[in-house]
Amino acid sequence: TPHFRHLSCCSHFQPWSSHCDPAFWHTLADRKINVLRLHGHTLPIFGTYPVAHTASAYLHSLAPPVFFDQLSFTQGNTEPTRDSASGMFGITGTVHLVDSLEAFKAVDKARFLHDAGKPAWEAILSGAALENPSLLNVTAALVYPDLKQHVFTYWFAFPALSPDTEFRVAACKPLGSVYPNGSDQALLHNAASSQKEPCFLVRHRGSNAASGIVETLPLKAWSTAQANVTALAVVDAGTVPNCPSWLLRNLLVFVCVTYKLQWVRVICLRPTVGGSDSSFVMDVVLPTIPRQPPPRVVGWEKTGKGANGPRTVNLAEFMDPVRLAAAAS
Amino acid sequence: CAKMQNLFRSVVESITPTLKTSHFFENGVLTPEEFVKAGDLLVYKCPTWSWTGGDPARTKPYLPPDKQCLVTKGVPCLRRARQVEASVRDEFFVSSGEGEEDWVATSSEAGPTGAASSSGAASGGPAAAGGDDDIPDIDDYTEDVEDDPSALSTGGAAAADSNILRTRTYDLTITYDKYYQTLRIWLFGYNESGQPLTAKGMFEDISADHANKTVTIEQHPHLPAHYATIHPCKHSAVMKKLIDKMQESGKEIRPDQYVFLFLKFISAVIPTIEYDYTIEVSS
Repeated sequence: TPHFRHLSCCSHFQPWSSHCDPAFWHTLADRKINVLRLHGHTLPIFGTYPVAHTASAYLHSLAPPVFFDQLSFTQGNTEPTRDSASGMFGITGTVHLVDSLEAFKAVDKARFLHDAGKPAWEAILSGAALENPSLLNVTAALVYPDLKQHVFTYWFAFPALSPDTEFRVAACKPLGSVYPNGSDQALLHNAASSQKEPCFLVRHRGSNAASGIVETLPLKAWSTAQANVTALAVVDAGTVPNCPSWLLRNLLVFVCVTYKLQWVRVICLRPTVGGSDSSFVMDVVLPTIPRQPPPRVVGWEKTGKGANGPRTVNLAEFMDPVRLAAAAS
Repeated sequence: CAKMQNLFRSVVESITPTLKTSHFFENGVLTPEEFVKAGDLLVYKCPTWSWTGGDPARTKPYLPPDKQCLVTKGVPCLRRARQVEASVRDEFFVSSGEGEEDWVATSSEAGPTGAASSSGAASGGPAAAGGDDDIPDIDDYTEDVEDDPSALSTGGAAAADSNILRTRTYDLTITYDKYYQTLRIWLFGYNESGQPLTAKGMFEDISADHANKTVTIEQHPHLPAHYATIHPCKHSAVMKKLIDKMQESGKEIRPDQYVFLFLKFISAVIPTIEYDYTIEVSS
């Protein structure tokens, strides 16, 4: 165990940014009118997030998006593992619909968020997250669809379990300085681009770390391979240098509760863009997290201006049949 | 009227036999099979692009169900087209021989009226005035939610200190247009806060020659929504010209590189939308 004399700072995580395209709103309106009608108020949803960004997105540290589209409501589209056709990972959750702005405001936001984070916490306690770590990556949205005006007021949450004591980063280094062996780096990047799950374990094949040959294992192998595990690897969607993305938060809570470790080495793997490798390795000092009571939950998405509140989308120009007809004639 | 034109075209499309043999070199057009191969190459080379099956109700039988159109989302767009227009025009058009008129000029059926009146119609509505702040968040409605010191700040005053930039973004899709036997690009933009742009706002990111002539807001062939699209009536002529030019200069060009060539051509139309395309083929 290394001695952490220089605890630099508490770790920061780059939040998701919800990205709902017009097909998402069309489909939501259709489901509300034709399926839920007057009485139904919740719909399961499914989003996708890419781990490969344009070079420009990295250059400008654009918030990592979670995409919601016409397929977000597809029944049975609940498998949160990577879709090999699109190269994207999935995130599952629920949309809660309300019938007025007053009802929207009246919702107890703390309770809503706590409930939204419950599945992730339960997956940790039950051990289900070990088999399926994607259960830790969840979302919930509160939506007031004004179907007459084609205006949608919405607020996404990406629930993160938040321990009383924050995670602290003891050391953060470029991947290449921790794993100088080129074949190790290649192996890690290949694993990152082919794994179904957004995280996996890394261990040294030999007894000697200096031999420099690593291998990868699924997360569920941890209990049997724990003594030899040297790092937890995450396929990271973040765009800010040395700052992991949101997904890692609940994963670290999982590690705390399940393995009661004092620290863990985390490899954040990012796709190589334009020849530069922005992958990095962090040693994270972990707090103790009891199984009771459940940790508090944070994760309401901020508006574009950094405020805590909903956003409004006005699609009348693209959805109102009268205006579309006028524009086309 | 554009509606009649669309109806006419969909009828013609339904009776037009699907192009079976390649006329890539002769006419700059593409078969559906060539589109799939070219799309596969794009997705392989540029992982920010992917295939989608789109809306199952709109699946076209001449394409594989899971490969109906190509999509890339959340593409940054830092500046408006007019800020870079002059330089792009010089780069792209000067060498193209007969000049831009050749493909910029709109045929009588293309969408100048559609484009003009869709922004015109917008001026009546609440989302009308153009610019980025037309559709306000419910700004005065915020809530006290629990403080989260572990979240990297992404907006507001705190983010002003960091290098994090807020920018417009675009979703782009490429579809196969059976009528014109070429590709067609569809776009939808979002402002710096992630809210949909108005049509007028999107036209700011399309070179002036096109924004007012060949761009319309239309029903997407594979998605249940309306998108801005560049009319493809002159695409094959431009592609043919690009192919000829490359061959004349001794460069090898294959049908599966069509999408790269097409995206290079489209980058002159939407010069500030920074989508990904490997410069495999350069003319």
